[in-house]
Amino acid sequence: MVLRALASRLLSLSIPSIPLGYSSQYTSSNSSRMNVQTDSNTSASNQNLGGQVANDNPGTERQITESYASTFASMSSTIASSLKWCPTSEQELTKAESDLLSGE
Amino acid sequence: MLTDEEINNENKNSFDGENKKQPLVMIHGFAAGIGSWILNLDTLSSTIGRKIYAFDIIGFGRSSRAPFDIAGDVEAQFIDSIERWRKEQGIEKFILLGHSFGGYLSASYALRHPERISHVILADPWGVQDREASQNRGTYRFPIWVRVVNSIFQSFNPLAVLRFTGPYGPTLVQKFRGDLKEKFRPKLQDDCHKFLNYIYHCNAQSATGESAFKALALPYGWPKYPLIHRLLDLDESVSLTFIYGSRSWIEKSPGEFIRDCMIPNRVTVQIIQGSGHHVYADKYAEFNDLVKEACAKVIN
Repeated sequence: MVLRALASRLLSLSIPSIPLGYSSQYTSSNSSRMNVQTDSNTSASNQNLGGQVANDNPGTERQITESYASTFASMSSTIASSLKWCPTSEQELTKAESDLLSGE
Repeated sequence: MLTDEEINNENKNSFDGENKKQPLVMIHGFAAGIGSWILNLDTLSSTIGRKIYAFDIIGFGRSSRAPFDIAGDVEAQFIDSIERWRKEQGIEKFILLGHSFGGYLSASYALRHPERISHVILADPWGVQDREASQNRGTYRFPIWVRVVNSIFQSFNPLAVLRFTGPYGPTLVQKFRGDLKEKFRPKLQDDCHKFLNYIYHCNAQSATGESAFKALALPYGWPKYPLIHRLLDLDESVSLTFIYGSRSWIEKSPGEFIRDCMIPNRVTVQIIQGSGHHVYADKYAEFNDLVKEACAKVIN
């Protein structure tokens, strides 16, 4: 009951549209590769999610899962991609592959 | 459409001379790269008498992380990149071997370009099983919080957690996939941590391949476009070998179904006892023997 009440309350709020900057960095770094809409990943995810949930959850529950899950995912993706805190690079991947294959 | 992709191509072969036999092309699975084949390349290249090619799927490994048009035909984009790689290599016809998601792509490639393929080896292939046919869709409804949590995770790419953990990612991989590195101990011995290091760097990069894979999958790993019925329309000139691990989570019955629906001897189903999903590593000697056996069926 508490969850349902909370859900109803949440649904009355408008959800801001959060643009996904996920792949825009590749547009600037290598324009020859990037000829797709930068937000395609997000929109596709939302479509998939919508389609999936639509089959299972009717009404408000579906809206909750759709809207908030995708918003949360978009925000997280944006934050994670802007942080760039994974200790990796193409050079390190090349080295890791070289180290792995060098025994052959 | 993907353009100007750079597919990491490692041409591993022991036959620099005039080898007119059809080569073997190997496609790795999800979240992996050509390094996955280290237990197979040496043996196969010295025993099957054919050139062997292995490449990183577009969006994975060291191949370009070019973004996919997720709203479009993602499968066609994968296949198109493979076809352009083939043209670049000048390969006319070949034997195609794919593991897991690589198996899905191999089968899809054979369906779209049967004139290029003589035999397809599907090693514990993902995406063959049909969810509707195999799942009893019960009436049980999960609590709303379970569905919300599930939906949140469904919104992420499969390995997003690896990237979200940032500097803790390498430790996370070493800690939770220790089983994976043990599979490669026969080759790497005390350096088997190198495999996980490689896997980490493969998957810490931009996840365009993962996003594309996700576009081909339904929740809980089911394929959107299962191969089980599509493969029945495979051109008659192409034969198939399924290699399953007896302990794998991949269902074996679709392979057996396809075998039973096709003319005798066109489809072979092999099950490696004691092997899990990573059949090429769990029981690599048996796997290599089966690949050799499958290649021997192709005369040229």
